[in-house]
Amino acid sequence: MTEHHQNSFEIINQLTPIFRSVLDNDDLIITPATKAEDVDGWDSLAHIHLVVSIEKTLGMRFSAEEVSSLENVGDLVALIIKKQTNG
Amino acid sequence: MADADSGWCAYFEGMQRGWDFRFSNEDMHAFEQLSGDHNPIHTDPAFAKSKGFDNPLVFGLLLASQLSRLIGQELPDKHAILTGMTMNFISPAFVDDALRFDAELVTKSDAAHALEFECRITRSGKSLCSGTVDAVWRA
Repeated sequence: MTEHHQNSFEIINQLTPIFRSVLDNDDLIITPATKAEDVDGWDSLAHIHLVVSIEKTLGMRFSAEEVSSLENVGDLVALIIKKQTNG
Repeated sequence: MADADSGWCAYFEGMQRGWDFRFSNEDMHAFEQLSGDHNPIHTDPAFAKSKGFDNPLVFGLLLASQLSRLIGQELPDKHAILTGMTMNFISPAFVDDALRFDAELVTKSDAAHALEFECRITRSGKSLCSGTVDAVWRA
């Protein structure tokens, strides 16, 4: 059976409700270029909640090194795709 | 940094903590004054009976104080900071009840240095409330 790997668009769609819930903003739009400083409330504590929520929702674990190297949502999406691809 | 890393390693999914406790009338009075919650359901036996309870109810958030003890006092070090909690109150607790608090670390995120515990308060094995508590670990 071939495992389905999500594309960037699908992952952004999956991440959007997580970001909206954690940051308490139902109108939030995220794109690959979105950075923490672009979004109200995306501070260090919210970042922790985001990482934990994403790990739970997607059923994957990140390392501290992987997360610290992320500069925007696009980097996060790329990391998720890499983990899905590599298992 | 090595000390900090070894501290984080002391946490593991499945780690458990638990203790026995009870609340006195003095505890209830102190919490009433601190919180400003003077609802008679917590202090007036006749009022509590009128609502269908045998005795005044222990404040729910006084029960939740055990979550603070867990994060601040019962972990391997003093580096955990409480960041969130949920609590579901299933059955009431009363003054001088012999209560038991149990918690288990269910999620340890190395990426965020975040911890999630599942918690339960019981009386004679019967669940009175259950919930979760989140913390970040900052050495």
